[in-house]
Amino acid sequence: MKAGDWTEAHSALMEAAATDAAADEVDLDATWDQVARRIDNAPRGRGRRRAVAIVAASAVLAGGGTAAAAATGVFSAHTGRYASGHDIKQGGPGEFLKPKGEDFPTVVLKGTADIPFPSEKARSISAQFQIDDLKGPGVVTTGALRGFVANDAICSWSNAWAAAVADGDDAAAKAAADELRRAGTWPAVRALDTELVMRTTIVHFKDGSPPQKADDSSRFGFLRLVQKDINAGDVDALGSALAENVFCIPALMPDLPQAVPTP
Amino acid sequence: MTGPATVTAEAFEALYRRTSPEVLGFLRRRVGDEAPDLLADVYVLAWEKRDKLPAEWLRRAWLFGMARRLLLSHSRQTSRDAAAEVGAALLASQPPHEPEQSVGATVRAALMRLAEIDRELIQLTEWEQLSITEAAVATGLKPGTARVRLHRARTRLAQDPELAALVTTTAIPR
Repeated sequence: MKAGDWTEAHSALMEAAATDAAADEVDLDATWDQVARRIDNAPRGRGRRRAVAIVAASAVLAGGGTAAAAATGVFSAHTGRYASGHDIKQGGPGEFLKPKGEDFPTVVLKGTADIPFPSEKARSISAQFQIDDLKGPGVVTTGALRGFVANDAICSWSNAWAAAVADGDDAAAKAAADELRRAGTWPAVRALDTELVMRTTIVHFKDGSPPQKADDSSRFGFLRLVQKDINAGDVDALGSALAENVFCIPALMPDLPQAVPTP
Repeated sequence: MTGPATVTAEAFEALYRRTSPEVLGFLRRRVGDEAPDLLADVYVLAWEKRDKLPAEWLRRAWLFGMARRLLLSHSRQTSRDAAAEVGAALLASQPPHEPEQSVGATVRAALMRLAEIDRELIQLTEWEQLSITEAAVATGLKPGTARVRLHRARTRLAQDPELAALVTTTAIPR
């Protein structure tokens, strides 16, 4: 571990610093009554027993998707539910996956097997990172997951290119550069980004604050910079472009440490 | 996917019962006793926007985002410097008898040295247990951007000299 690495010890300190904010049933019931008074048609004043019944019913309904998995004794990452419409823009396309599912590691490996990596070691580092990083409550779509892994693959190929350039291995450098030029056509990338553009936009505020320029690049727009830098043969510029626009897992970047974001 | 026609008053109350303890915790850590009133505002607003409710799995994050915006707006009513105001509330939320240099006070002071959005990403993922995707929704960032910012924020926080000293001297029971 080097200075600046986030560890379990830091998470434990954060946990210790969290002030106790346990919800009080009385507060929640009183607040619901306040909400109910301010909105139309909402039932109110029925107390905690009814609330518990509703939560229990909701849990039964929500559990429907995992009933089959439960029957086989496995809590699966698969939910059988798919993002649509507005949700795709917010969280990515595809099936909602539960990282807490026992089969999540297998689902990650199978669901991202078509994304090319320069080595199986790099693929394994990426998969393990995603499994660890996404664990916990909540869900992730297959599209978002594949996007994270595609990021890792782009970082890995960039590292492979930098290593080949340093070694004077022209064939390996060309192979890595060709894969990076193709990256915009990978299905995992195309599913999230068909534009591949870098751009900014001006944000206006209703409260009178001055307008501000904000990054509005498409999800994989940084591939434009990656391709420009490998065409120019500029290793440092490639490292800077990645550090500015992507999170590259440090373990994937031994030959291009410039690509790892720094504070 | 739940559309506007299916968000009945009963379904909305179920949403409230399911999510309000966590949203109240989020608010209470920031504004203390004013939290229940702000919680009511969050759900009244959510009811008004019920035809725009996202998919079930994103609703918790969406409500956190709404709570966060209300909190900033609430702070702006008394100060133009919303971040400083929220930060002051954060510092003020420490227990009254806590020693000045306790672990909690040191960690919160280190958090205050981060940019507001970075601090929020850390708090949402560490304190409220939101996933990165959910924290992105709550803060209005793209998931990829949120991940980059979170990584940088963690690195920055881990390099904070006072926090680094705590890590080497404090054993935190898990």
